[in-house]
Amino acid sequence: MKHIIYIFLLFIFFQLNSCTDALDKAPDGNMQLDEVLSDADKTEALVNSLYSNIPRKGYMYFFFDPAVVACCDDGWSSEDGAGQLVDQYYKDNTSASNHPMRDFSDGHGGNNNAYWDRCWKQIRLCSQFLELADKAAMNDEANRGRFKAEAHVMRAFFYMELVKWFGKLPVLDATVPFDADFSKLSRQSVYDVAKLIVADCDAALGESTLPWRIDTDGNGGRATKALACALKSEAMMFAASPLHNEGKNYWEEAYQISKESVQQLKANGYELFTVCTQPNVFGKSPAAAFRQLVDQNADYSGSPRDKETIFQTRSGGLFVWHIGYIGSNMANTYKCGTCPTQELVDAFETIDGKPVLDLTKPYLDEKHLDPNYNKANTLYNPSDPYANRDPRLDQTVLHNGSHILWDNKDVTIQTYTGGAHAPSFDVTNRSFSRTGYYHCKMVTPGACGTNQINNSNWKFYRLGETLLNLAEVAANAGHMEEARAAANEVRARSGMPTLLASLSQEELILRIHNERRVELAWEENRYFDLRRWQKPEGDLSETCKWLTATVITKKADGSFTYTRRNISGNARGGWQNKDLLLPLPLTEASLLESVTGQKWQNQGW
Amino acid sequence: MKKNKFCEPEFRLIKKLLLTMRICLFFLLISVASVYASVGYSQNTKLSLNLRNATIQELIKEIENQSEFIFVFYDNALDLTQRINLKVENLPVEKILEKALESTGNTFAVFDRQIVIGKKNQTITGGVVTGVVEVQQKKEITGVVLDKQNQSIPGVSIVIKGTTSGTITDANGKFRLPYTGDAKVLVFSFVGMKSQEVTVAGRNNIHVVLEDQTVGLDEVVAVGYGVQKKESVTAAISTVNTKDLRRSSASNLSTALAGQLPGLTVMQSSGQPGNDAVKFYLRGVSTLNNSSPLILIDGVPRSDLDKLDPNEVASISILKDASATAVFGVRGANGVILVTTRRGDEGKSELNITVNQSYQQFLVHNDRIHSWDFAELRNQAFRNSNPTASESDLPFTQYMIDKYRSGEDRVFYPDRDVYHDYFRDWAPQTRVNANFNGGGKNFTYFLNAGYIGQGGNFKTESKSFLGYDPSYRMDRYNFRGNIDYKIASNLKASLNMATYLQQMNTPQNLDLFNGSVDGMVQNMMAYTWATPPTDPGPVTVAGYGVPVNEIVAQSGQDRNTYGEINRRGYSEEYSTVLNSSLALDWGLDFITKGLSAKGLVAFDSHASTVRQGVRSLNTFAFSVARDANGKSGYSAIRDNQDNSIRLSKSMSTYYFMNYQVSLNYARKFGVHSVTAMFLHQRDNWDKWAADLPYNVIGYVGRLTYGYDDRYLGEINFGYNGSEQFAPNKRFGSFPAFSLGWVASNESFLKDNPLITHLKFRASYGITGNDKLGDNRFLYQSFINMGAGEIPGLGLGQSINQGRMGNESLQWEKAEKKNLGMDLNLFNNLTLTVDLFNEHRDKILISRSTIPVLQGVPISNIPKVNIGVVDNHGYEIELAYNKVINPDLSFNIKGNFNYNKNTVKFADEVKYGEEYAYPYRSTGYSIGQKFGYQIDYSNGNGYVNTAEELAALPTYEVGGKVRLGDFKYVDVTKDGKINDRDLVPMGYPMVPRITYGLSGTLNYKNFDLSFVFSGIAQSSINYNGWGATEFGLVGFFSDWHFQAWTPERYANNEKILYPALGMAPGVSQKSNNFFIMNRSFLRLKNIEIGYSMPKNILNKAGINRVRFYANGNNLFTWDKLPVNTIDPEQDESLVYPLTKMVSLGVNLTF
Repeated sequence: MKHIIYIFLLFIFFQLNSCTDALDKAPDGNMQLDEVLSDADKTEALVNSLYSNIPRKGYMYFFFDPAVVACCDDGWSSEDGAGQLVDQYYKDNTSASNHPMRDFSDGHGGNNNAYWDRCWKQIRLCSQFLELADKAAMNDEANRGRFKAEAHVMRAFFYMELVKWFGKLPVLDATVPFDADFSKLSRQSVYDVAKLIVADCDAALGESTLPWRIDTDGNGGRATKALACALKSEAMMFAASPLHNEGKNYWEEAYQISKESVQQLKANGYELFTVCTQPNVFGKSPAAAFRQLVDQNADYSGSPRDKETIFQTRSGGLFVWHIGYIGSNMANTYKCGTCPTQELVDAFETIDGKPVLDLTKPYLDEKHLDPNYNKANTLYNPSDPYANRDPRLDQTVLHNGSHILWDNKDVTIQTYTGGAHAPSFDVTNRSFSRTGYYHCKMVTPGACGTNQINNSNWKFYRLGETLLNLAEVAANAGHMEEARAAANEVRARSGMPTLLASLSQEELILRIHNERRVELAWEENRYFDLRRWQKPEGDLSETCKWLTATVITKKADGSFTYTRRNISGNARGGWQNKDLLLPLPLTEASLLESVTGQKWQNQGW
Repeated sequence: MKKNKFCEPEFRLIKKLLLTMRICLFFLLISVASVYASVGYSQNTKLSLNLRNATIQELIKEIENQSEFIFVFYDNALDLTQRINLKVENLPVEKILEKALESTGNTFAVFDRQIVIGKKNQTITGGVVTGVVEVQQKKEITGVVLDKQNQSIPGVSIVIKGTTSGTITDANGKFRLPYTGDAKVLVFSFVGMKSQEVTVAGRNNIHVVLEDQTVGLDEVVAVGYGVQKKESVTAAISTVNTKDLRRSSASNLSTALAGQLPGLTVMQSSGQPGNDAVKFYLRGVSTLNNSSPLILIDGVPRSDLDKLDPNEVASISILKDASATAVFGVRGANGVILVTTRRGDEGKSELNITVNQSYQQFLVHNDRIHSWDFAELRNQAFRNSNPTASESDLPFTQYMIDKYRSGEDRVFYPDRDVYHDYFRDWAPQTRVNANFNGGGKNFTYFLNAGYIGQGGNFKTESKSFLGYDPSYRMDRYNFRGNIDYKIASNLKASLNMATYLQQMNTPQNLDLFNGSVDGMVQNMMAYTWATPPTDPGPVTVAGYGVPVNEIVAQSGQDRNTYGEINRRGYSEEYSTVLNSSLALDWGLDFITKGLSAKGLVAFDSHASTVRQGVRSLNTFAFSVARDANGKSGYSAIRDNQDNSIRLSKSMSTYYFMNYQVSLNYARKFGVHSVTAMFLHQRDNWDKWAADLPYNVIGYVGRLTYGYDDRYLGEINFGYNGSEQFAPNKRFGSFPAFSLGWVASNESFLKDNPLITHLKFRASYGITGNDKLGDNRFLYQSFINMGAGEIPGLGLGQSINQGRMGNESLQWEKAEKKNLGMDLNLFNNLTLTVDLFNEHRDKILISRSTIPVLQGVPISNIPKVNIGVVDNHGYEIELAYNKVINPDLSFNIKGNFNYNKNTVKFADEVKYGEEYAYPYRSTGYSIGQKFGYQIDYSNGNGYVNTAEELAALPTYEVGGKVRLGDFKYVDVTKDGKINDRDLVPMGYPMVPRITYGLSGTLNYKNFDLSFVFSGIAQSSINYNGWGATEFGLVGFFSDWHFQAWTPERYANNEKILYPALGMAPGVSQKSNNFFIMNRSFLRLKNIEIGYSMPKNILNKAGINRVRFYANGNNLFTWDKLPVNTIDPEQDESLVYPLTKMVSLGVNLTF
């Protein structure tokens, strides 16, 4: 009995004694910023964080569909009945509070959503590092300059991403406390943003420790002077474009910057990839090098195979053969993803360098059913439409009669009605093309279930694009000769003849626009190009409202007839004036409008 | 499909049944032993007597004093005045009586504690003296004795006051008392019950309700950290007792609470075996954070309510106002649910066995749609969206539809009854429970063993075919021992041990679903619902050049549910739970009278092991010829896949510890009664993830004062500390005050025959809520390392600047007021009314008025205690008991509850002027829905004609308006329909009104009970699966047949649904068509029982045998326009709720 009482008393004593420090459990593994800066490895880790949130683009949108391509006039996704990203976009199911292109994510880690949030976060991190860098411990004092230069370039990079989607932005070149007074903030012109991008890039270019090229795999994906050049060129081209220039002419300034960028890139070892090194895989087409370039990762070494790629993500290439290629119930495939439209196919010139359609007005009717053939073109035969075309067509598009290698067997693509790969206009059918074409540009030839090859990591910038930037800004600024030269350099790689000196400025601009479409197809440029070429009051009704497929009928004699039809009886969403830019997130715009008393939201949203 | 494949699982079930039978047999054997033990009361009770020249009457009195024996005999059977001498030491009563009655010419028999004395020539059986032949004028009183729950009480002794003649009740609580002479007053008495005197007043039929000894003035209710006399309670507390819970055959105790407790809303959101999630809302919702109430089982916070066997539970109380919950301090604001498990009853020895077999069926299921109907609806949908479409564009050609109709090729043109491909109509559930209850003066026990086996409704292939068992099923074993032992007269030890062993079997969920059973179920339901009846499958058939019996993927997919549930492997989850606690109660009367101390240590552990066997499978696609020239066939989507099972296993354990020590004081000084309690408590627990253990400590005080049982006052006080807050902000005090006035104890109401009880209550107090979401230590800033993008920088690491800390972080503060009234009329009509008002302040919320562009992610900006929510409402409970005659009695109980909350501040961004409603939550109830207002001005709300279509405002809601779509109101009158036109509509998801009605009816040996439960003023946006026609490649239910078409409109036919489409369009938005009223009234439970007459059972030593039939969720009345969704579900893609019918037998020894 006594024992029990003692135990009881002991228990109470233990209780009261033990509770004094019971609540002092601090979480483990937590640190403060000072600790980070005093440790050189952690400082580097802080620099590493500047590279977070880089979008993976390409196939990393919802369910591995290349959504940005699918929402311009180059592609139509067979996910159009799936109720997801493209489906919502095609149906204009867009608003400031919910926009599929801006918000949609399936959690695959593509960072392809919440651009507003992600980019501003990274911009702050870059600014923060620039403010803290001088206090930070370094493993090697030489790193300090390089790290700061990287922060400048990455800030420029994320501003550029924001400009593409949203247009005008406030220019914040320093960190702002979250509870600061934002009432004086306003959206500045794209030119002002471009100036910040140029200034950041120039700061980086002036830093001797920042390399031109990454030559070890472990550092792959880090910012270089080459990236700075590409960003400057692109930023100024956007600022000069009709959508963003606010009535001012910045073409000459853009031209100067673009020209300098290309010169510097070339002077520092960047050149077009012109010779295919694996003809056994990529074939002997004049465009084989073009195909190899986009299919394979750029390599990081002192003397790389690919000297054209300027900046690519470190990861993100994935199998697409079963979800974004031929589909059509081929063995082990699941769906075909986004397919090239007839409009994209029409954009490829004939081998003699003549456009198939009259570029000033490619279609005579609103719905693109009546093509306005280029009268000067004698090579194009509407009854045999895929013959004698720009070699890049076959490297971009699978059409009726194309050959692919599948499970070690040669397969002839049959998109005629009743053929194995005939299009389906049932929106719930994800296995078949809506357009009569399939896409092949990013897929390594021979990729299939028994030969599973990743597609390339996403290439953000390559010299070919920067050259076409130069071509465009030079043509607009009236530097015709240099414009043609830049474009011809790109065309020559794929065996296309030069643009003639007889072209007028307007004609040359249209040809360069078309060259961008052909060369950069599936590389997510077209979506933004179409927009920035519009005036602020313009829309995309001529390009993105009605899109066409080709229905092929096989005749008894084995020949084919080709008929154009609209993919859908309804206009596709995303062509209106407001669609030129994404809306700012509703709460952000509402909040800033109430704080500043100014309009923040983009037009029409 | 070969039939014999499905046989195996059934066989397994039978084996399981045999096993449980064996378990029962074991208990039966023990129980027989205990019956002997109970007969042995008379043998074990040894008495010592020393009587000199005493009368027989004095002997009887002495024996009754020393023991629990009660004597029964007829007046003329025994000469009470006869004098005897008797000296015995430690003899059983039989021996004593043998000696004492030697000379009297009497015989006797002992029945447990009843001793019946008769004349020598009488035989005495079953407690009723027979063989009495009376010459005198025979009078007789008959009647029935019931307890408060209207259960009959056998063995009650009835004595005519002032005499020694009487009888006892039979197995059905009935008695027949023949008497001679005068009988003015009858005395009813029974062990453990309050004796009752009843005036006969010339009646010859009397029914009596006996109250438990603890009932009435001494009735206690569970309150925070203790019990309190019901009479003195001033807080808002409601209680439900075990009998009302045990009726439900639901596998989950939580679901049995629906409709039973005023103020508690119980919503079951899934019917998945072993995982049927239940949500509780106590007085609705008052916070933007976690609103779940604190649940304590036997005084210790525990999460195992779902696993408790209803047979283990004595009562469940809900504590609603601050006075009741202040002692829980920082955890009390959302209310508290107190579960008390059963304990042994002194002087009882009882074994209860219940065996119950049920069958359950989904409450909702897909409508049977024939393949040709499906094809035509799908075509209709296609044409609606593509009016110019040609025949060849249509999803189904006429050729195909003809084939479906003709039935000539059922392989490629089937008419699948998809629902029955995947589900069985009825799934079995077996339930066995055995419990012992008993004990003596120093030792009482309650032992419980239960088994429940639940089979899922999914049809699965047999183990013999697959080599593994992928079926959905759950087996759970519950064991509990609650033991109280009086170590000394002032020291009592109580030990509670409960374990739950649960085995859950499901198809694998590792591949595709990341180990989430919920994810798998959601996906599976979606695929199951959306398999069109036109799809060939689920497996390949011979003759088409591909392997037979391989999975055929459903349209547009690379898999089908059949493959997922059968051919992908299995998952077995074993979980074990141990709940244990040891308490010591030490009377400290030697220090001062009324003082006692109590200590409690509780330790719970949870462990679970999941073993998954995963395999891949080959899948084939089908193609169906669209015209006579086409060819149907299969093609491989995936072939040569690995067919062997890959095993993986994961385990987790966590624990919970709780210590409590307290000092208690209770004493009465004349008319002043005082109680006091001071308690120190500490919780320490661990959770699943790699996380530091959690700690909460608290000090609790309670002081009550009562004056003359009329005026009551109470102070409750909690002082808690939580590690979730910065060191100087850790502790907070939560006081509550309450007053009560028992008006019926005032002299002017004292013996009022109408108002038998009347009490008014009022309380005011502060409680807290520290449930701040999953993130811990919010007061600290977090900077962590993680994998970086660039391997060559900083050793491949990157710095994540995470959440910023907020040092001034605090708990939510709830200021609660409650006014209550308890009224009892005529002793059988009870009314309880409570009005409440709550102001919840300092709700921790994220700032939402900080622009994103400053660059710190909003989720990393410190949360602040700035949210404010108000809540108010009332509860009414009305109960009525009536015994009409000994054969017929009933009671009925109803409750009605209303709550309404309003968000007062949520740091919400105000939308611009152009928005019709600038706020989405401020000023509305939590979870207010917004939608487009349908314009019904044309009669039906649809765009019926081309003119109407042309006159519409521009739709900017996504998609093109078609004929047959909804007309929306342009609220802002800007010529556009867009998100600026959204208006608040419907009610919040958490119902504002909850009500329940329950009752029992006893007629002779039959009993009937029922529970209805209902909700109202609750809305839900069912705008997806089950409602719309879009699931994967189309999903049609009955109402889509009556979708808008030009023909239906022209013919003035009924239109139930907008024009069908291929994908969500302008109609399938949040609007007042899809925001549905989910009010419902449900017959939660109904039970009919029959108890066998006692005289048949006596020989078998059985006290009671009751057969019953029970129905759960049998009928639902709701307002949903669709029959594919149950209104209780929050989402449509969950394992559906089930209805259940069961048969059972209940044996009491």
